[in-house]
Amino acid sequence: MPAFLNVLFLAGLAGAAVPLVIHLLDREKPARVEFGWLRFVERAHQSQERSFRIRELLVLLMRMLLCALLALAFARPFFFATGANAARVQLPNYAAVVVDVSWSMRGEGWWEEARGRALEIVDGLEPGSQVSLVAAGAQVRTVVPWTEDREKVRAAVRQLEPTYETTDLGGAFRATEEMLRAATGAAKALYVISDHQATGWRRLDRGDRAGPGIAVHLEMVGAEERENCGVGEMRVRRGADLGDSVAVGVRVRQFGVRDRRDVRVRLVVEERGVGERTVNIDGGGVVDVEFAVEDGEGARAGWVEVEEDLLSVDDRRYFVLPPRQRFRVLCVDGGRMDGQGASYFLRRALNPWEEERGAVVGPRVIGPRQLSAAVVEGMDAVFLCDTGNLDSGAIWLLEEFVRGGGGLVVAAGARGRIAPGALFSGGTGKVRRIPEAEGFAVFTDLDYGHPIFAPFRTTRHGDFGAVRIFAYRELDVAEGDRVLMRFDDGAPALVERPLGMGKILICATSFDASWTDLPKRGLFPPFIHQALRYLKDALGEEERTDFRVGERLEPEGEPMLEPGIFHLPTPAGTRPVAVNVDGDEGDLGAIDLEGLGERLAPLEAAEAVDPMREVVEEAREVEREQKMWWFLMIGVLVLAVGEMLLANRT
Amino acid sequence: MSQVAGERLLNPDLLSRLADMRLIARVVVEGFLLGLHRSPYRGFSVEFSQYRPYMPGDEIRNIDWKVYGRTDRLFIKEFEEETNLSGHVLLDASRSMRVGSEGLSKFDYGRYLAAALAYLLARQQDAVGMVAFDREVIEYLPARCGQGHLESILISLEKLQVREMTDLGPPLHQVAEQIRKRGLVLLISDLQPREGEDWEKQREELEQALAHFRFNGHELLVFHVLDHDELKFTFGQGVRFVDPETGTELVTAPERVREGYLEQMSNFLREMEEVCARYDVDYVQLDTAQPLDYALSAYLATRQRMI
Repeated sequence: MPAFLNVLFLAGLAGAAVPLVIHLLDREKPARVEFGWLRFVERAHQSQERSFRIRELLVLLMRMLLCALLALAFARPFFFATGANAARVQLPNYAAVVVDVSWSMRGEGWWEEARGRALEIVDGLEPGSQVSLVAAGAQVRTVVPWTEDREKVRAAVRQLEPTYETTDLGGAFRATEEMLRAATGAAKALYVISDHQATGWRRLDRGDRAGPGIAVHLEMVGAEERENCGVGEMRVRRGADLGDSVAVGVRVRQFGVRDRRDVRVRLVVEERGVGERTVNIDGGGVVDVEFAVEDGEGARAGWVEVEEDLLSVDDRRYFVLPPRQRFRVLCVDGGRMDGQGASYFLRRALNPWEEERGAVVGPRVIGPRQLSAAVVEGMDAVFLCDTGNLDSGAIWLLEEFVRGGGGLVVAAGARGRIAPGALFSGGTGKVRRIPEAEGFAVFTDLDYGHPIFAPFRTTRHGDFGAVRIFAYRELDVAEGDRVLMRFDDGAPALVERPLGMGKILICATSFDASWTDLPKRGLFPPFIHQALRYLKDALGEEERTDFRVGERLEPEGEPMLEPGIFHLPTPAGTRPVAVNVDGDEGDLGAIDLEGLGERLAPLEAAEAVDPMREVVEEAREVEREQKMWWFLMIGVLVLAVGEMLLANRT
Repeated sequence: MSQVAGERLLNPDLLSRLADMRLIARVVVEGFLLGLHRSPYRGFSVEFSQYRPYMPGDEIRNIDWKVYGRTDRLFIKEFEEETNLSGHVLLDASRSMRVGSEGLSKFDYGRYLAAALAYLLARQQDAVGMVAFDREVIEYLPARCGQGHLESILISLEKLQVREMTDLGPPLHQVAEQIRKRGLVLLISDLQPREGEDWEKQREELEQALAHFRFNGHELLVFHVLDHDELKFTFGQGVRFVDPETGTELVTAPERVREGYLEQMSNFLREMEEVCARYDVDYVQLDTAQPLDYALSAYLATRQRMI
């Protein structure tokens, strides 16, 4: 049944009678004429009068219809059947039941409550209603599409289980509201059964709101008191002492308003307790706890746990300790071999303990003449410290070493330049000493994008600009070389050259204190270790061991559905990986349901809040639904043209 | 277009303002003759009338050589016609002739024409008769010479009124039988068929009547008198047409039927012309808006042929 936006214009329908009235009034009294040839007139009259009459009648009807259509077009008609005001009594009811399946619903008894509530809703629907069951986790899943079969929905509800995913109730609301908006129903209802934690609704957009005629019911499940303590983010890193320990840092969070005292935090590695702390946490606060774990040869898995409480899922967090890194290093010292030579500072930077600890085995120190294949074999990296020119045999040996994947670091020095050759294509040039008047040179233009310097991006982690350089050798940069650092006069200070499977780093200044104070600075050991790891491709090479629920461990694998330690096959056997839940889901703080209900309610229910907005929205809705006046206006146009053509023929 | 004095006098509209039929006849004929002053067709007979200077186009045989010998100038001898021609003017006085636009009916036009023709015949010393008819002969004055007889015809024309419906066949046959002496018959009529009757049959009757006259040796001249509106159909919007004979009415919009009407009228006139041509009858179509001289010229041409 049609309705009209501007009903007053319907009065214009009376205008349809205007052409008729004009037609009747315009009929002038015919003049009386005596005429003898009536037979001719009559014949012409008979042959043409009928078509004239029809045409005249047609023109009259067209004019009347034109006036009527014009009035109708201005009245802006629309049909209930296409709009929100459809004849609801003849249409089925629609009910979408959204059930929160995130892991926060695993509180004791919560899930059973949610399931029962869903069944109650399904049972309470009127016969013939269309029902849809939607599971709201990190993704929105339509478990049962629109159906009248309530038994099917009941069975699906009974089979539904909570997951270890997070909640996105905002996304679920949008998706389900779209489903309902697309449905043409007498009454439409959207039920959201959830613990309604505030974090679950954080992705609700500002404009999200139920469409006209959609009733939103927010069903709360779960305890009113929602104190939950959980293990949050973790960080596993090697110790700052460059040694053989690994730091396991963990953040323990207390979600709720109450303070927690004497919370025991326990570290388990390879199912053996290796550490325990007791902490106090204020309500809504966090405490960071760090454990030091002795380095080991292989990758080891473990977890950090707190005592079980309301939600046990986030009481444990899994991790994997990376295997120990060991490097075999050879230092070729061109200076004195009494321990005070050119590699003095380098040796201490590589292994400060002078014993078998830390990441570096050794290092072994030799003179240039001792360089042989037997010595080089098995080494991960070779450092040349102020060696000067090497003989061709040594150069060939080192070239082969680098081509085979070894790392070579060359530090210039006063002993002499290194002649250009296959190994050092540009060689090292003459010495440039900084005049006393200038004082010293400094490093500039550090390539912080390079893995070696990435950790030094902030000054807090070592300022290379503070290093003083008093002399250096000029370096010829060849094609394919990458300048990682320059002196302030623009001369290259550190150059990387790839060769075969290995790499060479050439430093224009020395690693002893004769030309620079770099070795005496605190950033020297980490710089050397970074360089060493880079040369052995150990930086960023560590395989990822920490995953979230829902992520794939392998590109072709299935998404992980639950937390825990899992083992992935490797060529050498297996390697452990840790899968954890999103800790934010442990924040059970509930949203203000009343406020949320008002925000999500359709406009007609929000009249008291903003009546003008409702009027505007409704007008827009009606405007959307009644485009018919366009067609009427086209009809008017067609009729006008037709009338013009026909009337001119009359 | 400017009219010469004679033409202006022959204007039917002006004639209608003259009450006296004798005056009308004289005005028409004298005016007409005035217009024909230089006409080579006028007045060649056996009785001398006057001299006039030779004009190019005059026949050489009419030059008076004696006068040329005396005056050394060329003169043409004109003669008063002296014939024993008898002419009958047949005037249709049926009700259909009552039709007329702008104050002048076909009947009036016909009367003026009949009077003028009678006057002209009498002026040429011909015997003139007059017949008025509708469905039957209502007035019959046999052809005679003399001014008194002309007076009778003109008075009769003046008193004549339309009465009955048209029926051309019977009265024309009757007249054809009554006129014994061969002569000139001038039929003035709108030739309108009777309303509601078969036209084919009426046309055959007309043809038989014309054939009857021709069979009796008469020269026949048909003046087909039609009102200007009948010919052009220049009516405005919404007209109630009333048949003058039957009283039948028809309301229509003239602009819608004009095309069809004019086509039928054109066919009818062509048919009449063909009928007349078939029996060697002169046919002159007259519009009541036309001056009468056209009709008189046609008469003279016919008369000339008879002499």
